[in-house]
Amino acid sequence: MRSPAEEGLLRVEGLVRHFHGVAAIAGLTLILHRGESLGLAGGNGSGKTALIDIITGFARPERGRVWLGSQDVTGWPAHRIVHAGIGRTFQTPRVAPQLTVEQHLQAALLHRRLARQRELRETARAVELMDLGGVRRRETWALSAAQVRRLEIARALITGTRLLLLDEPFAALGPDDLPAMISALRRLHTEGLTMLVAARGDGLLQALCDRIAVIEAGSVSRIPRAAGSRHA
Amino acid sequence: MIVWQVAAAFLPLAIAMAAQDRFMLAILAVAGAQALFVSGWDFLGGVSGQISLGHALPFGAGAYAAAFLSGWGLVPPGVALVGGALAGVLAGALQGMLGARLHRVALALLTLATAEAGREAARMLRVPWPGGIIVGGNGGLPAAALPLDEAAAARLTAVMLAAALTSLLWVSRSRLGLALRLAGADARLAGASGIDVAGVRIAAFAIGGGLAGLAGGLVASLTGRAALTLLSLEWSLFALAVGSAGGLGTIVGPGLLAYAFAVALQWLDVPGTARLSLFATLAIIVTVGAAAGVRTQPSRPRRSGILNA
Repeated sequence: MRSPAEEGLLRVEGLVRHFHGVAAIAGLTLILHRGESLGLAGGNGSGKTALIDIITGFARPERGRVWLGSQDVTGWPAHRIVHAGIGRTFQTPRVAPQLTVEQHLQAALLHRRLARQRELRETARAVELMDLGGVRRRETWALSAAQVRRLEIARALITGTRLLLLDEPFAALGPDDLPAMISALRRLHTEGLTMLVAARGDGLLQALCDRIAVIEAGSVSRIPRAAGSRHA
Repeated sequence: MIVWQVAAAFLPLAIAMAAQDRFMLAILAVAGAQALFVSGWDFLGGVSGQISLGHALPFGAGAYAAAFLSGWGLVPPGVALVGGALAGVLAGALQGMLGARLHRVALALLTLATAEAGREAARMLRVPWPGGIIVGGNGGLPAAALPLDEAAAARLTAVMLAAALTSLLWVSRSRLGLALRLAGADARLAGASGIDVAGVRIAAFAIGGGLAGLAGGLVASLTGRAALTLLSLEWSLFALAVGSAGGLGTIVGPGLLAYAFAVALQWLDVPGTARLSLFATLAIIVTVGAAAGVRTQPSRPRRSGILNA
């Protein structure tokens, strides 16, 4: 029998969670391998956000376990999940309007207790990766929707994440912004970052993910293998 | 910007140094302590975004602790102030722990309830005192006075206020301050940024409570009594109204406005019942004004205001 570490970077087993009496997650099981980019396609209310909330400590499952490598992280508080290496973005982007882009990134670096020079390097790298150089000292109320989306990803990356969960990263992006976003995410994937990308349709996911799981009524209904997939 | 803020923090000290009249110096001494109390509230409500309606609890706890320690002769009055600050830290941390997962209205109600519970507990308190008498109840506890004349007392509280404002400015710009601002703006965002939201919230309550406790100890030592009224809603509303009107989260603004307000109230000898109405009215004006600010500037968030905290 293989250990959880051998099974994959993230393993969720039999998750169950109800909200207001309705099953948001109904016995969901999923494995995400190291370096893999897994798409999670599903309509409104299918359970995508609920699953990400449970994995990242923003909601507790009623049943089931969440494993990060060999570590059982079920029910851990959100900040401990981040410290363990899971970063996330939100379906509706969350930023503090009065803080600048740089301050958001500095705040996300706090728990890593890095030396000042290393902090500056990490910030510069995240800013460069997500093309935020021109707005790094701008307060976030003045950013465009695309810039806010990119800031969210930069914020998640800078926490030292090894698994990035993206909740509807393409929502509210215009046709001019989509290619840049897909290109940035592809680059992260190429660099070896493990990603779970939730989206309503699978059109954009096809361009980005190794596999696409379809989620319906809180459970995975099918996981077709994408062309050229590196993972079964 | 920071230079001017630090300079402004020393304005009360300049006033206390310039004042000569003993009556005015006595007023300035108490005003400095009351401004310290409001500064603690502003750090909590303005920087960390946790609006407390029960800041009177650490204020009263500090006063009672300092009065007990100095009144019983356990420590000199100056050292009793440290005891008052520690009592404030504990009272604030207790409020923080109870309210760590609550937001806005629920947190405000919880802090109000803790302060009212503290006031009722203090009302029932009876303490044997040196000389065989029993003190407590509505009369509060007698406290040993600081061995200072009016000028020294006014300057001491002004120095403490300046030190507190300068320290709070530093903390609000530190790593803890950044974590507090993010947690105050959006707890989920802060959690996703790796910040222990409950932990930093409790820390803010402890810091704000410590300043309130120190202020309470000072008031008790200056007036010779830890009065039951120090635990009353009047003081919590004073902090909320003046702290918000002075520029929520700006640190120096609320401190200076509280200093001026406290001087005026004592100078005019405004009675306690009128003060409660006055502070409640000011709180209404500030709250409604802040809401109007939101409506007139929809594209840009306000930098201050109760509703935005």
